[in-house]
Amino acid sequence: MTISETAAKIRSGELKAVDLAAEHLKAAHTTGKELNAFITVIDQAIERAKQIDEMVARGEDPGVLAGIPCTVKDVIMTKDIRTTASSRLLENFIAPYSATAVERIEAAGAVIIGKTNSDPFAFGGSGENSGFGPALNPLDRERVPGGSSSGAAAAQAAGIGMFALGTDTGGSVRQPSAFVGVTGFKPTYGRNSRYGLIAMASSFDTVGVLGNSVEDVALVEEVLAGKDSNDATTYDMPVPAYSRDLKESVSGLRIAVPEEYFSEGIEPLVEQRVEEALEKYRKAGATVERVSLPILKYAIAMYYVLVPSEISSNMARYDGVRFGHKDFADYDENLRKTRGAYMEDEVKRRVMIGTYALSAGYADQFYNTALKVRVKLTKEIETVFKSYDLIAGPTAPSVAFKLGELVNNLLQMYLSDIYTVTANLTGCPAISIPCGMGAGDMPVGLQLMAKRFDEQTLFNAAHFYQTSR
Amino acid sequence: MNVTPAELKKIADLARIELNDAELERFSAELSPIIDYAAQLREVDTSDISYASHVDDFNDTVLQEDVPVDPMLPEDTFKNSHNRKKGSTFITGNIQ
Repeated sequence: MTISETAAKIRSGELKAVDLAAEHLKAAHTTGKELNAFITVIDQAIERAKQIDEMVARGEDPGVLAGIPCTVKDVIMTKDIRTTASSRLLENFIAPYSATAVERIEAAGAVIIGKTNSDPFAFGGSGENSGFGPALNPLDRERVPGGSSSGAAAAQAAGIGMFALGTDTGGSVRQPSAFVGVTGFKPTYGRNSRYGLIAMASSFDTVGVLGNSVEDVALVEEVLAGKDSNDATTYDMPVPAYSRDLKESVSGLRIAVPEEYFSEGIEPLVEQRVEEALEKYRKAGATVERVSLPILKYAIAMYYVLVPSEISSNMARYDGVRFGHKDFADYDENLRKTRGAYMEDEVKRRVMIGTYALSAGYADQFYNTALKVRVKLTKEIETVFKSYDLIAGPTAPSVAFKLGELVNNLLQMYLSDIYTVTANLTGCPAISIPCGMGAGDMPVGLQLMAKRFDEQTLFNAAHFYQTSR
Repeated sequence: MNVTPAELKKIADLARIELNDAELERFSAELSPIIDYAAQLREVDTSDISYASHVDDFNDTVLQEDVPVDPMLPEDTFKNSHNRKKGSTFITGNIQ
């Protein structure tokens, strides 16, 4: 059942929000626990669901997400509920306010049943860096669910929560969605508010959605999108009724496929499934053409200079004064020792890469150069969008890998983001949808990327694929 | 480009992270290939490109009406800080 159908039943009183919440909470405590998908399960969700039912009984409308159980990644703040960023550094942090994204879904009637596990501060692509242990892939528990939104993906694929709020700074919604076989969406930078999101890289971060279908994800995005006076990078532009306006026709759609996406490192079955998916678009009247974008070769290099640089600056706030641990009386001693003791290895690595890239003597060579290359990439992508509506390719070069398989090969781990980072570097919206099975009978994701603020074209094209089986 | 444990020690000091010798060895081995990989950016011709720290200049977004709203209470703002006592925000040493 879709979110819209479920919410309609709750709004009519045919289905009780409290029963639905109880069912999902039970799953969170059992399957969710086995998968290590949650850091905090919110049992008070029952009370919130009761309020939704009471509103319905009084003849009030709780909203388009009435009584819909959902999960929120633990880097997104939820007032008065522990929000750890999946790091031991913040293991006792109680959020003093809620993120705008959380306020908006709650105002639309959603019921948050838990805070999901992830890589710490969303640093990672497998969930294995979490200070609370890795989440497992529900399709094969020896494999990772991807990351950094690992618990969100694990819960969503296990049917716990009807949608999941995640964050996507370099692919952290789309890659795990591909690894567990669900739909994962990253909005245009500036479309959804970042207020109340624990910052990773502020010029890249977005709040995204994992769901069972494009229709569900489009509906949630309608609720999330729009201007927020607490985030100066959000735009005051009308939010289309994405889910209502979904079209199933792709006739005349122009799709560019960068040939650089099919070079070394891609698994043969991933390539095959993506080719088959593109063939479906061709048969339905879309133009699908190969293009050459040599600059894509540098996407990971610029990403892993710019993002750690912004991280090293954002992480400076964890000084043990306003939040964090206070184990030593002296400020400086506490600062160095608690950061050394409680930051997970990947947090330390990224802070240090960023500090290196920004330090005197290296800033020109790394940070400033990467900024310029990013501008060049953005211009080249804009040029492609003058002739095409979408850029398509695989979401990740492989299917979900085994736990521990890449932990000793950092560069290889970073390269698993090779297809997703471009959307973050250029601020474009992108979506991953399941397109069949690859090696080990694990799902493969097809990624579509549109020009900035053209979410509707993205949703239409993805919806076509999901409804034309 | 090789980042030696000694260089990494300087970086960790700048980042205010205390690392032991074993960590310095391990992190320098792990980070060198990443720095090396990033160095390939120098191959790209950027002579005609100017800096931008964002994908957009946000000229349309930054100005908004200055409307007062209810502020967060100090006890909420600082509820996660350790050096607190009732009636004060947090305690510091003497400032001279």
